[in-house]
This record gives sequence, C-alpha cells and structure tokens, in this order.
Amino acid sequence: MTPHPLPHDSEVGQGTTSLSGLANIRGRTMESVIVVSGALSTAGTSSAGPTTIWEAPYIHNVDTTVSGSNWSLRETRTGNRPHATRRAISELRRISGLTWEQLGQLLGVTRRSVHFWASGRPLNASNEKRLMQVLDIVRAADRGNARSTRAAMMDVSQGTTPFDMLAARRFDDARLILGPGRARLAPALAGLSEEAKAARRPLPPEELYDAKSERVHREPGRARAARTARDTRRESP
Amino acid sequence: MNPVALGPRGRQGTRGVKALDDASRRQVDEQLSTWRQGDCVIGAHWFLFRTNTERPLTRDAVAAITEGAENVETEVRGFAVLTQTCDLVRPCADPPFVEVSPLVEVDDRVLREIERGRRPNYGFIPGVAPRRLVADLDRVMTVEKAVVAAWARVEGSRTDDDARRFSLTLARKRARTAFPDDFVAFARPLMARMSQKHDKQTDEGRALRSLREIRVRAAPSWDADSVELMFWFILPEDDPAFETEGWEFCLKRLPRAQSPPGRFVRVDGVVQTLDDLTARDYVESDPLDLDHLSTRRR
Repeated sequence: MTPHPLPHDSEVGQGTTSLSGLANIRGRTMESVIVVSGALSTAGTSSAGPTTIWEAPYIHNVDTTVSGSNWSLRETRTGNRPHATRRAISELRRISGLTWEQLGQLLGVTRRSVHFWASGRPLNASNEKRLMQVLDIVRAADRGNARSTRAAMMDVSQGTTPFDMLAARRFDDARLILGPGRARLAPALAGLSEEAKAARRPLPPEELYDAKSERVHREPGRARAARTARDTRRESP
Repeated sequence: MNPVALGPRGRQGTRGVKALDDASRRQVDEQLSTWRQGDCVIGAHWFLFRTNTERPLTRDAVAAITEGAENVETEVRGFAVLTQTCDLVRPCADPPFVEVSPLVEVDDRVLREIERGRRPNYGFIPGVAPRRLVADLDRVMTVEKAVVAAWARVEGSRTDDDARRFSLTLARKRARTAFPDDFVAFARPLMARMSQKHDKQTDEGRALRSLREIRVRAAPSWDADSVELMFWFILPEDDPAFETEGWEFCLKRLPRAQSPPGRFVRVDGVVQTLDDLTARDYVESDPLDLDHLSTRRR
C-alpha cells in the first residue's frame, strides 16, 4: 500500500459515489476509506452550513438532513486505514458508552473482532461500511454524554430499540427515532510540553515484568545495641 | 512520649539542653536548602531499628539482644534521603523530620537489575551507582533535619529525569497493586514472553519497546470467584509504530481463558492509545507490575 497523507477539506467530496458502487470502489482503490456522511456537526439542527468539526478522515456531508434520507458515500484517499478504524471504534465507544460486547452486537461480529479492529487490524469493506454508518448515526444522536446517549439507544419504542435497529441494519429507522443530539463542546486545550509529558510518563512496562524481591546486598555486618532515652512527659495543656 | 516539634521558643530538656534558637534554625534551613530527594551521605553510619526481644528476626537483632537492648543499630554505607524535596526545604520546625534509607552495596549484575527496575525493594541512585551503592527501600529511618544538615551532601540525581525515576521507584515500592497469586501465575507466560522478546530486533521487539504502559482490569473484582480480564496495551498517541507494526501478536498470545475451578473465565485485550481509553477504562484498571511473590494470596 502506498501511504497517502490525510485529506484536506478541499479534497473531500471528490469521488463521491453511491452505496451501490461500494464494491467497485473497493476493487479499484485499496487505500481508500469509505466515509459515510450524514447530518451532524451542529447542535440540534437539521441542517447547517459547511462546517467540519470531526477529525479526518470522517468528514460529514452537512447538506443532509437528520432523517438521513439523503445519504451519500464519499471516497477519500488515505494510507492510514488501521489508524482510522481505531479512531472510529474509539469514538463510537466513547460517544455511546456501549460495552465491547454490545459494540460487537451492533456491528454483527464478536467482541474479539472489535478488539482486533480497535487495535489496528484492517476490516473488510462490508464491515467498514457498516462501522461508518453506525458511527455516523450515533454521532448525530450524541446527547452530550455517554450515559444519555446509551439510554436513548436502548429506549424501547414500537417494540424495539434504536440499538436493535442498528444491529438489524435499519439505519434510516434508527436515525429517525434517535433524532438529533447535541454537539459536544470540548474545550480547546493547549498541548503539554515534551518535558511535562515525560514527567507524567509511568515507568516503562519492561521494568515491571517479573520483578525480584530477594534481598541480595552486602552489609558491613556490624551491629550494636542502641542507647535510648525515653521522654515520658505528657504534652502540657 | 511527646513527638510534637518544638515551637520557635523551644523549651529546656531534662539535661539542660535547649532547643535551637531562631538563628540556628535558619542556619539549618539554609544548609538543607540545597538538598533534594535522592541525595545521599556516604561513610560509616548507623541505621536504627527496633526489635522484639522475645522474637528477634535478624542476625543483627540477635547480636544486640545479648546486650539486653530492644533498639538495634547496624552499620551501613550511608543514607539516601527519601523525603520529598518540597518538605526538605520547608522550615525545619515543620516538619522537623526527614526519612532516609540506608545505602547498601550490590554487585554489578544486581546493580543493572536495579537500574532497570527489576528489584523494586532497592532504589537506583545515579550519584552513588559508581560505588555500587543503592538505597535499601525495605528499611527507613527518621532523623531530624539538623542531622541531615550536618551531613556532607552527595548529589543523587543529576537530571530531572533521574530524579523523577527515583520518585517513581519510591511510589512503586509503596503503592504497587497486590495481584492475587493465581493471576500472577496465569499472566506469567505472557510476561515471560514479553521480557524475552523485548530487546530483539524484530517487529515484536520494536513494538514492545514502544509500549507506554500495560494495564489490566478485573471485573467484577480481583477477589471474585469468576473474573473477566481486559489487558490494555497502551501506546504513545504519536507513536508511528502503531501504523507500521503488527500488534496482533499481543492479543493472540494472551493467556487462554480458564474453565472452573480456574477463576479467569474471560480474557480480552486491546492495543490502544491514551486518546482511545476512557477515563473509566484507566481508573478501573491497574498497571501490570508483577513479581515472584504477591502479597495477596488466594
């Protein structure tokens, strides 16, 4: 694979294609990441101006509506797919607060598969598309904290839950039921200096394997009784 | 007994000894102002400890008891200061005490092990390492600041990084997670492999060297009859190894889940960065720090 840099905003949108063209895309460009776009980005609105708030390569098509009826797939080139997959899993987990087991159910795989994906193992086109679709909907439904978002996903309506809808690939239905969420307003924090980072780094793992606890030093070997004096007075009031 | 520090005016002892006046206290403070945690004194010194005269445990205690004493002094090669620098340089009236550990001599092989953190009951101190001296962290003695002020200071750490490592060594000594013995045995093959492969010039070795931390979470608790384990292999966020190295070996070599009566019925693992972990993930897990003996048996 030839590595490519992450796309700039200006590159995104080029190569837009349809869902049905996914297999062709995969066949042609192995370095591609499929980005499923949906309505997100702006708190509580169903449409918004051309704002991109999430990190590349998951760029959102802000022309769509919350109902999700106007989805489109975009193809953007990047050589960083394992990284992107890892970030997607992490984001999905962070927003939803779902367990690994539940994420597996949501994506139709075992929890172990999710562990491997989260650790950088590439996933196939079908799973990648599904992951992005689920992530897109969950992002849009983000209630601002994982507990509330998870509760919304598990809320029973019409005999089922948005979680079950997502697991059954009923994405439009899930999007409709969940509705819009609120954008998370994370403060823009300045990065720590390298020195500050170093000061917070724990002891490296290799120092912690299989530590030995025997006493192995040499001592001069002289000992003696210590003279002591006891103060038996009590503290004066 | 009255352990309270004397106030600025002090008071007179039974033998007519007076506490230091303000000027002398300031002199002690001045002398201590250059001392840092990890600094040492070298020479013939005596370490004081108390024994049970009915049940002495050490050779030194046995020797001392023959003299009818329950307080024992043993000769040591010097002392290392354990007290944090911020407390050292505060006025000597509050707090008036300093914690020190004796310096002991080890051979070169053991010195290297201590430097690599393999022996957490010893502290590596760069300033005295050329003499093959290390701090024996199993023993601690309290002295008044004026005692330290009279010592000839030997700089323990020459860099901030050295000082930080010594501080982490002290923290590790006192705050290690007490893993159950059956977990120690369960995780040993994984640890042994990582230790064996760490220095190899292979993808696995390079990947292991780039690890920031390994943590493990036990649910519902370490003491439960049936435990689910999650290993977190944590990489630095900006480490390029994530993109180029295969990390699956870490997950594929995890210990296999046990069937009862084994307690570890589920074993999972994931390789991630700090940005990927939630605060809950971090808080609910323990750094993987294993030794031959565990303090919490099951």
